[in-house]
Amino acid sequence: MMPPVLTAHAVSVTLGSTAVLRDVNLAVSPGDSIAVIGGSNSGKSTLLRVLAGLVRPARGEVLFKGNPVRSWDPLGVPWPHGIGYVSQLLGLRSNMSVLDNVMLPLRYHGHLPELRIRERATTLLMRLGVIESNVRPAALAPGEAELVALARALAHEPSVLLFDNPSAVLDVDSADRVTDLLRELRGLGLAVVSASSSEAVAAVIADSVRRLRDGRMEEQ
Amino acid sequence: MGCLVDTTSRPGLVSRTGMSVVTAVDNIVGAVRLAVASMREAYAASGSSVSCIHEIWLQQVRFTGLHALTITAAAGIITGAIVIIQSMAILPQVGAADSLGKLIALIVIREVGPLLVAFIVIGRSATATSVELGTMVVGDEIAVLRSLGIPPRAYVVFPRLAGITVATMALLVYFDLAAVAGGYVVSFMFVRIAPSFFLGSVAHHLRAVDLTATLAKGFLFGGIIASIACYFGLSVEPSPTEIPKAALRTVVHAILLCLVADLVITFASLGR
Repeated sequence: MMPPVLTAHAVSVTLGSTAVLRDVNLAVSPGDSIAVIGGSNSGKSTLLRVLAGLVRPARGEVLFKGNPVRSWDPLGVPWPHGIGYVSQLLGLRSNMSVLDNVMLPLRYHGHLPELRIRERATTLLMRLGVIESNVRPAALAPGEAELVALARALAHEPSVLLFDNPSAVLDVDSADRVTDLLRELRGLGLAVVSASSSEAVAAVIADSVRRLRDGRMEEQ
Repeated sequence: MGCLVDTTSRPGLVSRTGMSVVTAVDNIVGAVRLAVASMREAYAASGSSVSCIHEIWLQQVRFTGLHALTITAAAGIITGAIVIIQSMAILPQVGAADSLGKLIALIVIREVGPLLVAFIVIGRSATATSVELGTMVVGDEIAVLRSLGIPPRAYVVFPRLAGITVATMALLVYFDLAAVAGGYVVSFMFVRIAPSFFLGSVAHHLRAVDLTATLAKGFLFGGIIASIACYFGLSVEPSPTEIPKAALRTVVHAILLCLVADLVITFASLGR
């Protein structure tokens, strides 16, 4: 078995006086797809944010390829290039076109010439079935906007994809396209951790399910 | 009957004032730190990142500067005209009717211009910036940028800081030119002053130190406004109701700080 690419060791998070996560352990290896499921306020989204390096745990640590988060600065960059994160709120730039949103991380890091960047972004959007790439995100249906956020998270070829609340896969056509793309990318070593309240969605996207209840990960 | 309001636990006026001052100083220090860190991170940015930052900077200059030209020109012309009209009513009494150019130079270009331009920039750009950044926080855009390896201080804060500062300086020059034009038109209408005489009078009374102080104010006010707007925009709690509060805090802090900065520069340039 390959060593884990992303690990959470005994992570606890407290927001105010509420314990959101309690001693949560999770390890994901290249090619794995794990779905974390649980009800509202079970701590799923917080766990994904901790794994993305966006929320500092009160206790425990998060390791990416064996290294701890470089900085917990609230305006800093936790992992320079390794993680793709799809937020529950998507976080698409509303004043940019769909295509520019997907191209943004590639343009900023500048590892590729403009033509290749455009090609990669267009290919990803096409694979996910997003036809309208020159419109603003506000013009898209919610499911389509989620696919754009997924395309942007995958654009810079991350080692780990953190997918919060993948509701777009409830649509049958989108589900097929998303699972096909993720299966292909997992074959190339992408690890996927998704968070959902639906077991049906988890079954579509993941091959292993972990359940969170009141911030605790239930035994498998 | 018992008192409905527990007055024993309410802090007194002195404590509340003290707490407000401490909070304000804390906010100002936070805004300065944010501005300095954004400059440091933008300086460290490499080739392609620089062009992304430059693109946002250009949008900011366009919004703060270019899109505010009409209102700035109108404000400049009206201010120049008002100063001259009021002066013509008073100056003959003190025997200085030929000093209209001097008044434009001293009152409008040196004092009123920078403050009015600052208020225009606060009203248009500072509120828009704090609302935009607050919306980015609430909509998780900032978190997503971080996850994509894009540092928000370099990509979001710095171009706004630099854009608003440059645009404020440019608007100030534009405002001054409009005020001179407005002042001249009114002077010509009422006392038939020749353009060469009026402009000569403005130029004669406008010393290098006045111009330097004016541009320094534009630079400083732009920096203050942008830093405060970015700081309060990024400080919102993740709730939409926090965004208007951030805009309000931005306006109050930016106005006060610009006035304080104006006072300091005016004192510093006095007698030079």
